[in-house]
Amino acid sequence: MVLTGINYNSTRSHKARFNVQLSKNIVTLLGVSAFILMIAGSALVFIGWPIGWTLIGLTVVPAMIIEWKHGELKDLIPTKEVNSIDDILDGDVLGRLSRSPTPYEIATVIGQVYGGHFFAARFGIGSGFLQEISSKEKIDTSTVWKEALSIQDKTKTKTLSAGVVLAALIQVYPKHDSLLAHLQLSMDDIFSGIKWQNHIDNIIEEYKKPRLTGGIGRDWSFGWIPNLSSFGQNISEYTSPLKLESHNDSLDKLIDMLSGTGDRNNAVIVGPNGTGKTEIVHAFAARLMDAKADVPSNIKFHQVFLLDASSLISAAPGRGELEGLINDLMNEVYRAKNIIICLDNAQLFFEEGVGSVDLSNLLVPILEAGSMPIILTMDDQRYLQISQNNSLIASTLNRISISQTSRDETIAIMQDKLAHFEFHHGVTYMYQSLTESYRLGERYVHDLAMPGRAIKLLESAAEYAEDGLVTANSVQEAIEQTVGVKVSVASTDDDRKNY
Amino acid sequence: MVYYSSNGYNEAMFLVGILSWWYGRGWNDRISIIVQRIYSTSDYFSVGRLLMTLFSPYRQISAGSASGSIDAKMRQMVDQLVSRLIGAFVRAFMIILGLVVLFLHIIVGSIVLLLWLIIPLFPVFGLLLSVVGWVPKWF
Repeated sequence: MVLTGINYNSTRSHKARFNVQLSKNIVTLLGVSAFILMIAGSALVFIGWPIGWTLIGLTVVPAMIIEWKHGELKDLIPTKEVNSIDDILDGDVLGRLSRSPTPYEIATVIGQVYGGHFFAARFGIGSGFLQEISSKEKIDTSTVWKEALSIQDKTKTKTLSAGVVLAALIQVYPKHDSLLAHLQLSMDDIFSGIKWQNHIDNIIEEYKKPRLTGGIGRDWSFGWIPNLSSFGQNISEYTSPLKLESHNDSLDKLIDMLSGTGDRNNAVIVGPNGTGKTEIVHAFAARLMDAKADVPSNIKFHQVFLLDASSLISAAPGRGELEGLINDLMNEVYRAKNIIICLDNAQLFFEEGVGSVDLSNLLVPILEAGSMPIILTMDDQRYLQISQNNSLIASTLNRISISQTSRDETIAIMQDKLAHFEFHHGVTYMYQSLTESYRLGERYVHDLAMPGRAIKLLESAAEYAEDGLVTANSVQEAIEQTVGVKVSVASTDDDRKNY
Repeated sequence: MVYYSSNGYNEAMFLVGILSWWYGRGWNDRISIIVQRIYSTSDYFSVGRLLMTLFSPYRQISAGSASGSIDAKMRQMVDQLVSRLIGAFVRAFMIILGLVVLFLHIIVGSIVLLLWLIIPLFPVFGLLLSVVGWVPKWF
């Protein structure tokens, strides 16, 4: 069936319009009136006037409307049987459209809703831009809907969201490629933006769900860990329900290895710096703490402790002291029965040097015994060196190799990091800054692998935000200041003279 | 003929919409919220886990095996027994507390569900009480 129009009189259309009418101010007014009716009614009943009962009874009318707004109208779900566009069009767009909207009117409405604001802030595609490219003929609207349905299918979006309709409005414009090029964008970037917005919506949905983490009696059957609490960092305490954007296979492998299904209960995560080795351990800790996650029962709710080599060495400077401390810590771990140790930058425990100490004689027997779950993270070059020097280590450890992330994966990871950066620096990142960070990071940052190098550049670009907005230019400026290479186009004579 | 206001909807649709939601999806959502709350409470008090580990030593104190004389073994056994008894006492207390809170949640949830059904009739009840003229006597 080809869907090309809106049924203005459908139940869903009516509900969408009710939702728009019930604005924030109206809802506040309803709340206040419910409160006043309740107080006034109670007071009247108290002084013996029966009319107060009517007022008390009427309290439920505004209260019910508010409940309906939050329970259904705010997030109208699509109709099961789709017969026309209004059955799947987002409620906030549908509720603002007239009986026979033109593409121009649709563009105007997109500029008023959250999805439109998202694209205006992140991509620089505002209402004015959309209005300029949209037709004012009603006959062209069906083409927009047809295109929107195709984009919805392509981006696997549940509804015809504002982002999907925005993409359709751009797609139907004949010269969209050259127009988007001015904004350093392509149609693929717009589709990526739709997926980004869907991802944010999913994260918000996840956060709304209550988290089940085992409760207050979870650890009562496990031992005390006084030393480990002082020298280690319990990363399970700070887990968030966020999912990894890449390396999911590695995470599954890690769970498999540490759940004891193999002979050796350990894993070494090997990869260049910046690939996200520690991130995998954090995701692993979060997975173990999630009651709903599919994790073998023998490691469910186990806590992951990060041991930092440098703090251990500084706490016990003498050789004998350090070995004694490590021994005590391992004993605690063994007795507690719910701890997984992670030796971050584990090469520092296997070689002699400044800030490192060779504890192979102590650690290898523990790893060989396999009775204590241990995770090690190591730089790939150092792992090779250590393996060559001591082949027993390599044969004892289960290796998980981590490679650099692809462009799409890196951008998805950066999108997840943005919430933290934006809150921390008080800025808003545009999508173009992400793609530029990837491009310039790959070219000029060599001390880290992807996604670390792009993330590092992205964060440093916050310092060069323009009016609170981090753009592609901010990223260019960041690289110019740190690397000292001119990457942006010289726009003035002064620029040309300087470079 | 269907009457539409200037906002493009009719008032009858509003009433039908709100009532059909109230006794349909709204009611189901309310049940889901209550069930979810019961799950969360059960998780908070670790009822299932504590029941499974009711007689485990508390915090692994005196866990493990002792070798040596019979005297040492006996002392270790007594220590373990005390640890397990303390564990069972603390866990049983928490399980009972959890069950009491769960029971309260079920009672309150059931009252909310019943109230949900009659809330739309409150204006009618209020009007009837006003007409009858009954008010509580405070003094």
